[in-house]
Amino acid sequence: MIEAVNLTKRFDDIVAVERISATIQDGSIFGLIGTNGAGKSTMLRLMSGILKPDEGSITIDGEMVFEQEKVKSRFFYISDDQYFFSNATPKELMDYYKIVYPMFDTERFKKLMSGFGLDANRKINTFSKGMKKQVSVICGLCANTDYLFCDETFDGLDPVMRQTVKSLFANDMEERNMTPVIASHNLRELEDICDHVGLLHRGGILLSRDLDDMKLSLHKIQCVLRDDTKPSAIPGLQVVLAEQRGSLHTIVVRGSRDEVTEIIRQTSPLFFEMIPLSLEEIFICETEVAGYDIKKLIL
Amino acid sequence: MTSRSLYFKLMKEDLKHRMWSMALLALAFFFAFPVAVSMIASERSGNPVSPERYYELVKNWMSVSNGLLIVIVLISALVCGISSFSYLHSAKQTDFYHSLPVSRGKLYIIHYIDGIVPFIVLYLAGVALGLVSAGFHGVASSEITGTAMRTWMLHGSFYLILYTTVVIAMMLTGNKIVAFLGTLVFGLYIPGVTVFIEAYRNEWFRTYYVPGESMLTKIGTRLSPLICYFVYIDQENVKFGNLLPVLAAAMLLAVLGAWIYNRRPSEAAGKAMAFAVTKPVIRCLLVTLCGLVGFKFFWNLNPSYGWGIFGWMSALLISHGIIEVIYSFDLKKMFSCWKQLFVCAAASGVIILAFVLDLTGFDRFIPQADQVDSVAVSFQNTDSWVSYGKPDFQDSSYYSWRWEGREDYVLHNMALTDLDSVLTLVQEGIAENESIPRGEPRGYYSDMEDGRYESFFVTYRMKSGKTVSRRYMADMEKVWDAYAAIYDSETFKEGNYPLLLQKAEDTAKVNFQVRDHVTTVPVTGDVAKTEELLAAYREDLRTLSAEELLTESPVATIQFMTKEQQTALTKNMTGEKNYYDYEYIGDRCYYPVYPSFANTWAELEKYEITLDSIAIDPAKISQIQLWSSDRDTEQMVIPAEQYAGLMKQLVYEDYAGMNVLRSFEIENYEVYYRYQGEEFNQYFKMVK
Repeated sequence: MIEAVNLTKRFDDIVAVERISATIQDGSIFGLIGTNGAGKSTMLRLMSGILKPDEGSITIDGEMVFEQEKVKSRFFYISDDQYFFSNATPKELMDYYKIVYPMFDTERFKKLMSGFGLDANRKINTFSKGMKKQVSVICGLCANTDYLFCDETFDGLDPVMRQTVKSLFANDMEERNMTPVIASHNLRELEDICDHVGLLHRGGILLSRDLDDMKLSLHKIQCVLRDDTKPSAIPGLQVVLAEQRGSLHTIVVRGSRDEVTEIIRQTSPLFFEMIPLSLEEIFICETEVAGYDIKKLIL
Repeated sequence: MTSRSLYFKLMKEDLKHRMWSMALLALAFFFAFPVAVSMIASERSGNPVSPERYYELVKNWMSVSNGLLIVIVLISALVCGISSFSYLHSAKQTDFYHSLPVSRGKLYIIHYIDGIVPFIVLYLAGVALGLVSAGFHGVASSEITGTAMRTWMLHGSFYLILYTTVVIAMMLTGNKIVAFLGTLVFGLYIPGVTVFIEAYRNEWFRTYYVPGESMLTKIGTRLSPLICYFVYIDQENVKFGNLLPVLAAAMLLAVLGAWIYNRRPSEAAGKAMAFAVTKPVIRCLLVTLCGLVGFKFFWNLNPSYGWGIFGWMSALLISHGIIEVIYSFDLKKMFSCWKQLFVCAAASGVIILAFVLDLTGFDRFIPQADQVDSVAVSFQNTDSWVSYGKPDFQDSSYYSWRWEGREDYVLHNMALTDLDSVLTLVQEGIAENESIPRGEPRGYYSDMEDGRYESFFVTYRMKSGKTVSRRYMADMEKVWDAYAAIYDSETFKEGNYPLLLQKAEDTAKVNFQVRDHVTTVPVTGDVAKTEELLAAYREDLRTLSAEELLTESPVATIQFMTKEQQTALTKNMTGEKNYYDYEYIGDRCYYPVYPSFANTWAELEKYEITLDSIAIDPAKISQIQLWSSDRDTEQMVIPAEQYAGLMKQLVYEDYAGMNVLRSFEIENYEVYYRYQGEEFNQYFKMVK
């Protein structure tokens, strides 16, 4: 389990991360989302022990990360612009990683390289941006670490490759309980992969919740009510967001699905439909509740 | 995996990533050793030189005097230091290395050592190939191998310290250009401070003088790895023991580098300075020095306070602006730290005032008599003819004369205890200084103007063990008694004339010179006779008084040539060049012979050299012309009947210059005469 407590990092007079407290449970995919400059990369660099926190702490299973080789050997960090040795080939890169990650799976590396159609003996600097990302992901997976920190890793991958990588993540999570932590500014990219999300904004964390919990407790309903009844006037209905176009109300409400359905049905609506909420909408709701105009924050 | 194995594997991997720098080193050493040695050999076949000469050339090439090796060391230290830790200046690379499960301490050691090993190994390989090449051409010896290994040791040691200095500059900065500038600051800042403090002392402390190397210069050169390198190269026969302080300093710097690395934030990559705390410190140190430089530079161009202040202000503003632009990479931030600019201005202003107004009372220093153990005094003009120094073997091929400063010699050989006479001179010197407004040129007379002024140097050996040196100028008329008391003392003479410490067994031969005519006194090889003549001369010189100097001029000179001089002359005579050095060494160490030197004349008489025999016979003078002081205008031809009377008042001009206490007319008399069967025409001076 990764735990950040009151984590703060400043770059001169810029506060990149401010008093963030969050927990990342093992065996789940944690999505770290936020706008550019929100502090996602800084958070990942703090987790990776690249940066030393100015205040607070970041631990993995209770042990500090910074300058702790044993703890650092439990994760692999893929930056948004990964460094490769000049003129190195993927094979040479593998040889290097084998030294620092003793559990590195050479056979799997070869298999994945072949599966992705990448030449292990070609110079990496001749690869495209997407191919370089693939090489990084393959190295990260083959390092066999408990955690995989990915900074905008899906950016640059084509949809097919993105799905392939997601399935590889799912496979490793299932087989060896790997925990990927993925930072991205793109909510849609993380929607179908993350179990848990943390939303960063201006160095602070707005929320950190389990995606299923959010999905189960928030519901989007389209309905036409009798006698111009306002959704907010329905007793027992916790309206988070309400919008009206003509007689059609689109509302987001909090509560269990059965509970909400029962309350609406009791008003005998002319029309009633429960439609799925996107991750983006969940965040809009949650953050607006928290007092932020999320539309200005993301996408 | 064991830690040792991890180190080894990571070092191996790191070396793979710096192949280009290793290739450069390999090329440099390949050309510097096997190729160069072969080229020297081919020079022999194309332009034949003796095998001994070739041997000397190869040995010389392998020695510390090979300038190419110095260039290679300097460039290698810079290139390897930068390439070892260049990843710290790239955010991408820093993130990569610092995310790995390898501690910063290990990363430092791995990259640090990988910057040293290729240089040491490839240098050694180059030397080995060079020796093989020398052997192939028939020149190989344990002496050459020893020279090459000692050179390797010296360059290796200084490579280590210079490389580590570059590494520390890399640690403290986040940009390669700034790191290069930082290296220059580390290499040149302290010597720069030393140079300018010395320049300020020389300019504004009228009495400032330090025999030999000042403590400030000594410290300044030792604290700069770059200058220290050149100091060591200049030394002869550097042994391993001499290099231990260098190696110890390199180790300390390496540890300091590790300490800085552990504290260096990863986010410093790309910034000018890695640590915010170093910014004001470095800025203030540099800007303050620049203020001093600006003041002095403009003062030298035009010695007025107005221009000095203009230079001071310009230097402060420009240096502060440049440093701030470097720090922030933003021209608009040029004067953003103006408060620090004021601090620097205040600091440099106070330093300038301290020198210009002599706020420390440097020029007024007179020691308490009970604190002084002994004193060394040297007069600048009284004995300007004395040769201090010895022949020195240069470039493994010829000798030249290595001068020793008069003040250095005197400091080591004179211990006057007559403090009263010395302090009388000093007090007059201080009074003389105070009569000249501060800021005026120092105004030391290069010669005794009208026979009145004399510059003199005083070094007090304090009972505390400290030495304090000053220089003054005094009116001899006012302090004649004190001057005469010092000159007449045997302690002064023994500390002033190296001949008084010379032994007969160290003397190769004795030359007696009358004007341009040199005769070797037939005592060569006879230590007893040499000793008799030497003792006689020593006795005469010891008892020569200042009063006698007012009335006498030398009539001849005598040289007790040392065996060292003789060896140097023989070597140079048989060498392929440097006739000039042959002549030069042969002309050193001639001492004046005054008519009153009764003991000397008595000894010389045994070899038929007498006062009468060396005098110019008026009958053998064909002409005497009187010339103006600049010898441009012939004023008259002296009638022959005046020759005999005139010659009693004329002194050969070289001999007139050997005793400046005696005054002469400014005109020159050119005398055409015959002496010992040879024709001469020489200039003479008329005694006032």
